[in-house]
Amino acid sequence: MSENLLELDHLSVSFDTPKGEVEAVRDVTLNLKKGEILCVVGESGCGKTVMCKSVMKLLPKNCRIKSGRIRVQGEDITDYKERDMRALRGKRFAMVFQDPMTTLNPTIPIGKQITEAILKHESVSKEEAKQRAIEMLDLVGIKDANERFKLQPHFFSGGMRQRCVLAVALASKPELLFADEATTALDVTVEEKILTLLLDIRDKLGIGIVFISHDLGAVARVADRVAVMYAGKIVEIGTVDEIYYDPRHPYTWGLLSSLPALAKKDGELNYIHGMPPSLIDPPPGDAFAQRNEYALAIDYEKAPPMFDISETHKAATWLLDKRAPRVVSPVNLKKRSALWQQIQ
Amino acid sequence: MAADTIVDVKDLSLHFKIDEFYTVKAIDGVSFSIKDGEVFGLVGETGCGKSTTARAIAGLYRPTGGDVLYRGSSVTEKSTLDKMHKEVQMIFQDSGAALNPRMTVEKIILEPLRIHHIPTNSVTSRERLGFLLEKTGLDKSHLSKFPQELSGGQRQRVAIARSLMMEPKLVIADEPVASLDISIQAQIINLFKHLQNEHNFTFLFIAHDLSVVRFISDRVGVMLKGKLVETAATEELFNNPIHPYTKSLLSAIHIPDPEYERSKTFLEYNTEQVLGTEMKEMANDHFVLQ
Repeated sequence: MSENLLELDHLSVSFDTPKGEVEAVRDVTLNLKKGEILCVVGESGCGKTVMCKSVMKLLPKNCRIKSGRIRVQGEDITDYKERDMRALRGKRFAMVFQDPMTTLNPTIPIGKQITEAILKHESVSKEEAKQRAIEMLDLVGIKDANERFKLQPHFFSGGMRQRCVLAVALASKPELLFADEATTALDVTVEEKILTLLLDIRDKLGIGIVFISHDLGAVARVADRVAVMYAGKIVEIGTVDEIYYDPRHPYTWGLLSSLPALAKKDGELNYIHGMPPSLIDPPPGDAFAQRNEYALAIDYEKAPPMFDISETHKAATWLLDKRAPRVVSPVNLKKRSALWQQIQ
Repeated sequence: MAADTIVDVKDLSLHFKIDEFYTVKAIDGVSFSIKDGEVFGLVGETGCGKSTTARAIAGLYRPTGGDVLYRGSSVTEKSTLDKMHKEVQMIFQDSGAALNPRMTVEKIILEPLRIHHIPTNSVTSRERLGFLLEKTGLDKSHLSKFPQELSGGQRQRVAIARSLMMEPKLVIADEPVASLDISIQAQIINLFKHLQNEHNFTFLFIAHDLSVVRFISDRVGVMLKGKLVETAATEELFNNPIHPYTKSLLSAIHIPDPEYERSKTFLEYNTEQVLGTEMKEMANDHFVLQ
């Protein structure tokens, strides 16, 4: 089991609010191996970020881990206090956020922000730390690192800033990197470069990456495995090919078929009707049932368990039960994507 | 000028003078025209001048060079602007900031009428309100709500309903779906397409998501560093890009297809420089900066 970098075991995370308890993450089980990129996709508010932050223990005070365990490299960190976490953050795992401008300190030169991360975790001389920081900037593809070392963040463009944030995150040699919508705010060309960089870093350093995004195009580019989240639960998880070419959950169908990239131009886009349910008092049964055109009667009563489709592919929908009627996936990605490539 | 041209941008320049020594050339000699009833998509990276161009067309900025003609008359003239206030509407990216938090949805949608001194309680106005609610997928219960009580998708619908209240001839939408979830984005795009088909208004659609632009636009213009580098009919542009920047931009699009993503090659382009000096017609209605 120790080859698993990160293991979440039936993790549930709740917020206590004046209106009641909000269960933002519900019974999530997943693992991440060394050198693997796991993408978490889903709509806003489905609990993607909360899940990652609960590993980092960066959540506000009114939030608690209700049940389940979090293990990092076999070490159970579920009950770790702030003091224990401080030693782990940066060293074991680091996180990159969406907006590079708010992550970086605008008054401190980039280089200093990177050396700060190194000096915090390792007992090296300032000179060595500087050398390492310049190497980091090189690694993330910033040219003339020696000169740029002294510049403040506002001298850099958005993409460059995101590279700097990556350099800060990677400076203390984490083994696990959380990238929370790290490329969402960037232009396509810049996004492409950052995604290539992530793949590069993974190959060079062999770290595990949890990549959160709602852009299924970017996910297709980097993912080894994909987890689809809905209302705090993982509804489908599998390798990237399994999710894109053989999706089994109606929610995944809905997501894939609402993409304009693969739609016929004269047609209409499909979309998922309705809104995600409020997590304050979630309905009984499957949270997706209300919006699911394939919902069965049992969906309104009992939440489906995870059904195994293959060793790596799991989905939580009653449609996979032996007794359920057979439904053919409406998404035929292969066919539509062939259409796209033909005209490329 | 052809009779069916609604907007004609002629060698438009907009330079913002920061201080004595430094001028930002937000738009630098851009020319294109939008035909009546078409959807014109404008794409490009952040800071390339898409939004500035849109605002200049709406008459919100006074050009430092060149001109924008709306139905043949310059938008810098007051008489044109008066006409445009009734006929041109804008939709912005952040609907949370575009709607007044102290007004109810009903007041927001009816505000254009009040501004133009049209009675809001008349039968026609109420009918139009009901019609727009239905078309944008809202219902009567939303009318008494405040913007902050609605979700992002619903707020964007309110903004769209408001922009259509005056039966505009030209709608300028600046990244209207960029901040929305995929599923809501799909609903809003359908709505645009549907409304555009039905009412046949002209649509200037600005986005950085090329797959959205491809889906909705009839013609596309690609901007880079304040210059228009290529413009053509949508499928012509996507199938046969000529300018190296357009090629680079198209090669960067992420398609939700893992096999394609693994095999594709990204063509890099140094965006610091704009290749070419003059727009030339390479094929029928396909202009490239050469």
